[in-house]
Amino acid sequence: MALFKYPVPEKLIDENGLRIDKRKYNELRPISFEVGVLPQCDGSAYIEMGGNKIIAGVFGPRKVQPRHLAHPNKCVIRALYRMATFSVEERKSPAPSRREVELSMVIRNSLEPAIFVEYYPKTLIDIVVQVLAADGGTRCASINAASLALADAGIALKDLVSAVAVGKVDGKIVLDLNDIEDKEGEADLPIAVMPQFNQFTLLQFDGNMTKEEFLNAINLGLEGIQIIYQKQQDAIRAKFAYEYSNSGELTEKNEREDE
Amino acid sequence: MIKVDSYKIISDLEKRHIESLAKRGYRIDGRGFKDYRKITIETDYVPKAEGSARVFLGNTQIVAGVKISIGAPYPDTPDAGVITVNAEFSPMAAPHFEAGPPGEEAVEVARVVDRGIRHSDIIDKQKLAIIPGEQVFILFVDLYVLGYNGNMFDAGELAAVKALMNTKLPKYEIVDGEVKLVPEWTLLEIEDYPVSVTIAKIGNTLVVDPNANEERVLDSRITFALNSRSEIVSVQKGEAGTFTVNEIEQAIEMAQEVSPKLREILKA
Amino acid sequence: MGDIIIGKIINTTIVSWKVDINSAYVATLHASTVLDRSFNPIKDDIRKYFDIGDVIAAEIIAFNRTRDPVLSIKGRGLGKLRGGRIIEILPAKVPRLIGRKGSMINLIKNETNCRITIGQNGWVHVQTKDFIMEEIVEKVIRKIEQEAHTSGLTDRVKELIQEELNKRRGEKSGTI
Repeated sequence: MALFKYPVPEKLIDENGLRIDKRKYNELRPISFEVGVLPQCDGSAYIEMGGNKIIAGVFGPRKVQPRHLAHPNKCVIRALYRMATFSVEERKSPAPSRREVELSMVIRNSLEPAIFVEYYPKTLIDIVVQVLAADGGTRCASINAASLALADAGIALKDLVSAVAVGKVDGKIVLDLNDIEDKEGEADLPIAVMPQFNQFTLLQFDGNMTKEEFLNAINLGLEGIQIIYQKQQDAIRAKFAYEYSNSGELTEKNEREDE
Repeated sequence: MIKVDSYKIISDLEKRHIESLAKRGYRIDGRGFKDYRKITIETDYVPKAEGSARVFLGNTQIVAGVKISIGAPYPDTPDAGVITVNAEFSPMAAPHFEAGPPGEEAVEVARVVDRGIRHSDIIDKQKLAIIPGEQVFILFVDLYVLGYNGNMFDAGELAAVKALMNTKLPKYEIVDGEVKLVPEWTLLEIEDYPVSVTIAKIGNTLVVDPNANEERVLDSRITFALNSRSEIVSVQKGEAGTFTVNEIEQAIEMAQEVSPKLREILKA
Repeated sequence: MGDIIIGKIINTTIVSWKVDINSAYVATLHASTVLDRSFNPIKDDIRKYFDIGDVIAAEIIAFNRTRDPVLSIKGRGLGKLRGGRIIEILPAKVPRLIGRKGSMINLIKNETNCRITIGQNGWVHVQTKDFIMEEIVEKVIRKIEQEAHTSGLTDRVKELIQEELNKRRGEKSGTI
């Protein structure tokens, strides 16, 4: 049992068209990334998206264990999504839930299309996502962070993957649902996209929408994804720019004295 | 990379190198025998937890969170609240970790941290009783290891105690024998600040705060939890090696020497 | 093919060793290539030559999509490494540590008087005469790894070595 049941506001959108956290319908929550946060991983990234705090680590390409999972022509992708017991209002049981198992799979399927899997035959790429604080839309935030972790690991990608949830609240289509909108709203539509190609890698839906609303929602989501995509690219650049600035001078073209 | 099974096989070079350094008074990362790695602590890290802390000990990283619920006390301590510690090693913490239920290592960390807290009277558990014998506060302290680079015990103890130090309890009133919680919070009263000191025996040398490389070659290790009066409140000897009485005495002295510095960092 | 790597023996079969070469693939070293004759598992004990935990320098002589890497230890400086330690760097930075025609690595060797074997897999074997020298070499290698993309690095490395040597002159050295 959660200690308190906080009352849900009667209206999720006020007379000025603002949402409970004072956002407009097409506004994202504050979002920030940090790349390369786990030295023991081949790649890693941290995201804060609204109240979500999520860390993602990647190992690989590495040896496949158990061996029978190996594929002769491509790498195998394995994803694990875990939620900390204290990340939610009511303590989550430490045992893996069905939801965590499903989300692990959903995250894997969202990221795999972006990876040049055929470059790494007979190997394995491990993606581990740990939710430390949850505030609605954890799967999308997880995908955003994990896709950066893959890039940080130097794995060949067709594109980053950017994700956001769109939904319907008080009859209105809104971008990037928070926890209360997610629970109390009429519909929830998480999407993930390879933004350069506008190809969807994740599409789930719960609730009730007309065809027009659904297409509107998807377009609103794509707008948000462009912003997230830009922030992801900035985060990658920030990491390597930091490495440059740390090392004194920066050469115009990567002049190599070797070989 | 491949490390999953390779990790357990210590290269001969590595083992001899660390041992020969120890003999000459050096450690692989340049520390002295009584030096801890850099410790960084963040608090109030998780908004939905009643208390939380994130601890870095070098590249070892642990996030601790406290969740509170109300339930029945243990039959043998009907007028006391309950604290339980639980630990999970995320597969992201080290290349050789596998997903799955907590293994021996994670359970040992949770148990050792638990005993350090339990026997130091960090909290007056009677104050956690709401209706003695019937309803008490239950505090779940959950540790998530996000970076494994040796000495989970001391990092875990720091994280758990720090999370308890900023844990808030809800106020309550009892109406007709029913507990009614009021959404107002008070900070948990902390009565002692236990810290744990882990000492590794490498060859014949004792060093504090072993990193992962040292843990792989050590003969045995011993963890002391000490309360604010520098009394020993719990001990755990680990790994398959042995200690002599002299070594144990020496280890206790080391632990008593370094523990005040750790406590200072904890209370800062 | 032909790359020199440094590996760790992690297992044996009746006629070969399995070697961790810091990659997604486990390499094989066949006993017959080590002994230069056919290996008779009934008479010969494979662990007499290399045991689990041994570190070797080896050459990759075969590797393709269908086959895991195969190693050989024929060649100067190849075989079991004794003493010293392994420093791990990103494999992508290895060419910079070697330098054009070996300029960088020769500089380090000459200035610090130590033995270095560089594996293309990012494992670098370093053997020095004392611990202080080893610290200096590690510092130098880390600098090269971090600044691999900058120019004028060779000069800066030379400066760093001189600076470190001057700083530590007179410090007591722990002989290894």
